[in-house]
Amino acid sequence: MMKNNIFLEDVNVPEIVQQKADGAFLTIQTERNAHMTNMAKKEYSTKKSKNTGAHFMRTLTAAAACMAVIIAAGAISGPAKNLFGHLDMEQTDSGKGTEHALLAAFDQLDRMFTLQVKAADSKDNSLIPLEEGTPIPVAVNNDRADSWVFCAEGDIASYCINLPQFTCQGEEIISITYRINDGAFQIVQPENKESIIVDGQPYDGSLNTGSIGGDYDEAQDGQPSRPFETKFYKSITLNYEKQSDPYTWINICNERPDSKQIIQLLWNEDGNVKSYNAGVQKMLDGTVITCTVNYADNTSQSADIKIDSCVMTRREAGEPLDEGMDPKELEEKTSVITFELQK
Amino acid sequence: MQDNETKHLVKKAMQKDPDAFTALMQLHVKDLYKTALAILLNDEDAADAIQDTILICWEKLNTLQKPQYFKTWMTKILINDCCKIKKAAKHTATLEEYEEPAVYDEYNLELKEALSSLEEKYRLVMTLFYSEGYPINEIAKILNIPKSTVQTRLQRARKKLAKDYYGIGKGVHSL
Repeated sequence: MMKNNIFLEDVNVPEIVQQKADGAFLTIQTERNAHMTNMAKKEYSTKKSKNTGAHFMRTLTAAAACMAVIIAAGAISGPAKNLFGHLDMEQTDSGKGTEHALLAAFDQLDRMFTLQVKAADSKDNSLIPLEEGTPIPVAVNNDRADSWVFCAEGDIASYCINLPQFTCQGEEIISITYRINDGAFQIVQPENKESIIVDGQPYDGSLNTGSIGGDYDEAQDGQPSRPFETKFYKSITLNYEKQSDPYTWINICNERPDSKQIIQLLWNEDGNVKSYNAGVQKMLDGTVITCTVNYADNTSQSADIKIDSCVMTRREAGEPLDEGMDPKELEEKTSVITFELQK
Repeated sequence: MQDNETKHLVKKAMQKDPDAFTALMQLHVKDLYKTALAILLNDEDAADAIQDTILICWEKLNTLQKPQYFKTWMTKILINDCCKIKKAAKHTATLEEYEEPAVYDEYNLELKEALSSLEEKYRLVMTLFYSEGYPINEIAKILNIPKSTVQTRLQRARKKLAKDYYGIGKGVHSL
C-alpha cells in the first residue's frame, strides 16, 4: 500500500451533506407521530392526482428541514399546519430530475412484495417465495387438478399451465396486475358469480388449448356443481384482498403453430424425459409474466417471471406415494414446470 | 465486519426505532459521502443522494434480511441512487453534452482532484476498497461484477492514479 494514498485519508463531511442528512433524520423523527404522517399523506394525495411514496418522503424532508429552521427560531406554533404549507410549496418547486432519479432508485430496490407459489417441495401446502435467478419447480398437481396440460392438434401444439396458488404478499398493496407477453390468461370460473378478476384486457383472438379447472365438484360442500365459463385475457387485475377463491382457476395458455418439432419432442415413442423436457422448453420459450403491484399511494412495482421447465424425480416434484404404488415409481424422472423471478 | 454498537443499532432500527436508525445512519454519513462523491464528484448531488438513501433505507429496512449486511445493503442503495441522479442529469442536459460537474469546492479538494483523474468505474472501486475497506469479494457483490474485474479495476486505477495524479517517476507516492 502506498504511503500517501489519498483514498485512505480522512474526509470532512460538507455542511450541505450534513444538512440534508439532518433533514432526512428529522423526517423520520416526525414519522413517530403516525397520525401526523397519515394526515400529511392524505392532504398531499388530494392535491395531486398522481403521487408517489418516494416523492412524498422527499417533499416531507424538505418540509421537515423548513420546520427545523422555524423551530430553531422559536416561531412555530402549529407544526402540522406549517408542514402542510411547505408541502404545497415544495410540490411546485421541486426539481424534476432528482425526483425522477429518486423514483427510479426506488424501482431498483429490493421488492416490497413477494410472489409465492405452491412449489414442488412445499411442505404442508405452504407456499414458497419466488427468488431472483432461481427457477422454482411447481408441484405437479394443485390439490384440485393437474398443474399443466399439453395438447396437439395437427401441427399445432398448445399448453395450459395453472398458476400454482400464485400469491402476492406485501404491505399497502391494493391490487396486482399480471400480464403475459405471449399467449393468454385462461380464467375458468363459475357462471353468474362475481369474478375475482376485477379488471383485465381481453385476449384479442382465439385459443384452442387444454383447460384446467371447472369440473370442481362442490358437492363436498353440500352444494351442487354449477356451470363454469372460460375467459381469455392478455392481462388480469386482482384485488390484493381476494387473489383467489376455491372456484376460480387462473391458468396461462398458448398455441404454437407449425410445431412439428415440439410435437416430435413431446410425444415421440423413442423419446425420453430429456427430449420431452426440451419440447416443453421450446413450447414455453420466451414466455414471461409481468406482475405489477399497485400500492395505496398510486405507486407500483413490477417483476418479471419466466416460465420454463426442468427435469426432476416425481418425488422431488411433490408426488405423494399413493396406496399400492411402488415407491420406485417416485424415483422416475419427469419434466416439471418452473417459475423464475427475473434479475 | 460490524462492531457491537452497529449490530445493536441495526437490530433496534429494524424494529422501527427512529433514534437507533438516526444514530446508525449518522455513523455512516462519512462513508456514504465518500461513495457518493466517487460517483457524482460534487457535494450537492452527493448530499441529495445521501438524503434519498437515508429515507429509502428507513422505508425499506424491513426488507433487509441479514442485519450483518446492513452496510453493504445501504451502499447498494446509495450507488443505485447516485447512478439514477447521474443518469437524470445527463438526460436533462439537452443542448450541451453532459459534462461531469466541477469538483473544486471547499471540501476535500485533494480527494476530489484524485477522483476526477479517474473514470467512474475506477474511482468507485478505489473508494470502496481503500476508503471504506470493503474486501474484493464484497465489492464484486455490491457492483454485481466478477471479482477478477474488481481486481483489474483496482490495478488499473492505481496505475492511472500514479501516472495522472501523483506523476510518473516522481517516486514520492508510489502505489
